[in-house]
Amino acid sequence: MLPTFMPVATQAAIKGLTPEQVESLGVSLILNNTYHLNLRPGLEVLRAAGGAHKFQGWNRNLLTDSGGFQMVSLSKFTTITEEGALFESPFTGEPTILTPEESIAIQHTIGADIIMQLDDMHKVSSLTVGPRVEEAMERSVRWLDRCISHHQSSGKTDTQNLFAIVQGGLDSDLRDRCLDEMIKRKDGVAGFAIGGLSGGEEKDIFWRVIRQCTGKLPEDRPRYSMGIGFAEDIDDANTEGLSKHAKDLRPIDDTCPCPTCTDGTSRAILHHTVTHETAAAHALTLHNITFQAQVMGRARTAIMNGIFPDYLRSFFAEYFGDDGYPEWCVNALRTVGVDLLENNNAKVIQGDGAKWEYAASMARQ
Amino acid sequence: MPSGLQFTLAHSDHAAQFGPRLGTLILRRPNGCEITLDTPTLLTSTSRGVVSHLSRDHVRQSSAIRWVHVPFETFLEQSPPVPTLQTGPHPLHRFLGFVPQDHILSTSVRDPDDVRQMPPNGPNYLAANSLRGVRKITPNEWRTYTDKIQPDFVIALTDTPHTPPPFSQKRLTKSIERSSAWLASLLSPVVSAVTPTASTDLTATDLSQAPTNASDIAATKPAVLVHLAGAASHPARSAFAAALLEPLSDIERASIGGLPTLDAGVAGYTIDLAPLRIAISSSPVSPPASSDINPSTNITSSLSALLQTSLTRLPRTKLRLIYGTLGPHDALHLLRDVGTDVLNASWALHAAHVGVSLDFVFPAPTRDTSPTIEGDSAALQPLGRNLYAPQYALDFAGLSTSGNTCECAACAPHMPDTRIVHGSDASEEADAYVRARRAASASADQANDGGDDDSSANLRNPSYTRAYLHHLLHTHEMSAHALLALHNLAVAEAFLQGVRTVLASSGGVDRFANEVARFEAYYAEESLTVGAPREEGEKGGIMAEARAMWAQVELARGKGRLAREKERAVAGGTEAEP
Repeated sequence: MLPTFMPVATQAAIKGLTPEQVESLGVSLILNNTYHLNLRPGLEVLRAAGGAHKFQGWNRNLLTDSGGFQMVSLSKFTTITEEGALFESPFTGEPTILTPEESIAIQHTIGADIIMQLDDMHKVSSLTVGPRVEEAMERSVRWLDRCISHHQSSGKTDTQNLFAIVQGGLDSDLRDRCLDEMIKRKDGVAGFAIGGLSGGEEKDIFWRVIRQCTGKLPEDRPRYSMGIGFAEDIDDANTEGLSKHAKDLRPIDDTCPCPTCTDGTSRAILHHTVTHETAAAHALTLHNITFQAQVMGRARTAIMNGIFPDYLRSFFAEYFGDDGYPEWCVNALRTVGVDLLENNNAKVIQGDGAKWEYAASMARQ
Repeated sequence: MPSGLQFTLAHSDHAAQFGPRLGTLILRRPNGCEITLDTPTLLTSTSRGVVSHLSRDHVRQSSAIRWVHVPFETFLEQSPPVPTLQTGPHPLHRFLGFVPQDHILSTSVRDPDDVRQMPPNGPNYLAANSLRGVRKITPNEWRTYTDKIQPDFVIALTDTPHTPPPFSQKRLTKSIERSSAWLASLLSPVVSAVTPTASTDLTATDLSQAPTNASDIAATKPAVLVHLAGAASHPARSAFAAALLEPLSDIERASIGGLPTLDAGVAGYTIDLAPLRIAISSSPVSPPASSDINPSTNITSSLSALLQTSLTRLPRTKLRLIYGTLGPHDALHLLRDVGTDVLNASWALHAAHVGVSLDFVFPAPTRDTSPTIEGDSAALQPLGRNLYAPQYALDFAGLSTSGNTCECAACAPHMPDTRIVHGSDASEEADAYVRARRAASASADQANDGGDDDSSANLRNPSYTRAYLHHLLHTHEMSAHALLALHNLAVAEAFLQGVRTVLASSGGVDRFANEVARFEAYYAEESLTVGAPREEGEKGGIMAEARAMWAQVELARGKGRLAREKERAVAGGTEAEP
């Protein structure tokens, strides 16, 4: 059920947990990264295993990206040509090309339920402006056609769902053109992703682009907002937060339904083991995944009950509290008719504001 | 029903002081719940209070984890130690997440496997190791702490020298005197904290004269185990045993609650092999106290001889706990030549840590008819697989050789019975879909296996494969070690189950000796512990190979990797990628 939280299992594992544990947390969709799986274990192994679901023992839904983004950010000397993305093979150093067809073929071998088109992502940053952005947007539309065509001709449309990725950088005219072109291809795709963001742009611009896209995208297709970071690497934040809890025998959150909290695992024993024992990382991962899934679950309930604005107000009050609300959130939500500051004197802070970290909330408790 | 501890040896007619033992340990808690362990049983070690690599739900899923040992010294980093602040019944269980209905907890100050050099102990304190440096702990503090945390077994402070050996006679005499005094201190009733009934119960039970080999000990105070001191010296070990059995003077009796001897207050004996091995290898072996034991330069037989010297006069009906075996061969030798009831298997966790999945059974399979790890069925078989090795990249078999069934969470993963529901999440449809998918795959598996009438098999997912573990190890994913720890502990427990089954059969003791010989002829002996002293001429087996590959991946992908890459890039004149 959407919206949902999708934890990242880059290399076919959610860090430290078994798929059974992840499933018991109520997670129903995880992400594997195509670039990584293509390097290790490699397609020969995945093919022999019967796909990534079987390889990692995951019975629920799986999503893969096109592999392009990591290639651009992790490989040296990547060049984009009309044919595909040209890069240096990490194995042999030979020039290697990732074409839209090749990306889809790799994702077919991996076998995820949701697969992504290869898009032309301008190098590394979403801050790029100028003709390169336009070229990338137009090429992404052309590559979408090639992906759709390869996907349909390979007979995988019954088992795998291809998503388009809307590009266009931060330029609203380009975004509009991209949206129009991709919506024309709606029958060939199962859903739409919003790409080209989270590359360092200001949050205030970020939400305006998202708003523009969601305003146009068809209601009957799911939307995937790429690169929304719930902080992935929250161990350090937790370590910091836990340092105050050496003798604190309370769980992290006694209302949390995760195995760590319901078992009464104290902050004291987490403090004692964190950074020394992987078991402490497991306990925190169990909690953090549950926490994020709970946030989304409560949002779904609020939407179902028609009280999402109230939910947002109480969430912000609880989560940011005295630390102040990020101004961009306040502004963004005003455009959809939610006034976070209604009956509330909360402090508003400039800039990108607080991140999805737990240190602040832990310290407050 | 008397609350407390009962230990019964089978073959009570078999009077031999040494040799394989089969028994039953029953722990009855005051609330009526009862834990029964068949012995020899497996002891699982902890590090900083947790079983390495395992989350609490995994610990509880593991049927191999029943007796858990907690070295307490890391908790001395805080004052007072945080477990002593835990309230409610069974504070140590609660603090560490062990289940009183399922888990027996024992505790000692030191980690018995830790043989790093330490400053000397004092006349009235033990030097313990913590992250904040060396901590001194007095016998009085130890008694206060353990009364508060309520483990099931507490091991009395013992003066094991952790200074460079060899040890002078004077040092060993001091060690024996301190260890007995520290035991007496643990046995003395606490005037303010302990109710008089508890010490009365303890006095009423004369363990050494229990006629049915059964011993009952009050559970309100933790049962006391004593480490058999004396290092590698036969006379010293003999003297320590004598001190335990020596009738006490009236004054001495009064100070420890009226017990006739120190031994009358203990439920059993522990032996730490790791420091003993060091003492043996760095000092000339002194002649055994009794003439029928031949001295030997071989460490294993020296160990056996030293343990026999300690145990020869002590009542055989009490629990024996041996800590620090190097692998199954070592364990079998000690079971056969000395006899022990509780064995730790740190090696199962060490092997998991470096990517080795254990794969051996007792009794050993029959040659020629059984599938083997190495192609040549005449060769000695390794005790497991180094899953880093390239041949496992495309090996989709489970962790055990076919025919060795393993019920661990890696070989037969439990499908979760429940899952957390997050607000509105259409859980019923999603779950129904997954159930249908599983039912389909389960029936397909049954068709492949030629039918499986065990309906509970439907609740298990297929085994994780060697190929998946190989992948997880090379990508530095921690899940690999969780799965391997669960598997290796299950293999160790199944091994002891095999030992018990042989001992329970008719002619069990003789049959056991034959099976040990067959095991030695089938599996190559290898130390599975990290940092264990290597014997001369020892070849690199799976552990050495795995350790080397583990280190490579650790260097390439572990903590500090980015810093190292940057250094390399700077040194090479190119800029590191952002």
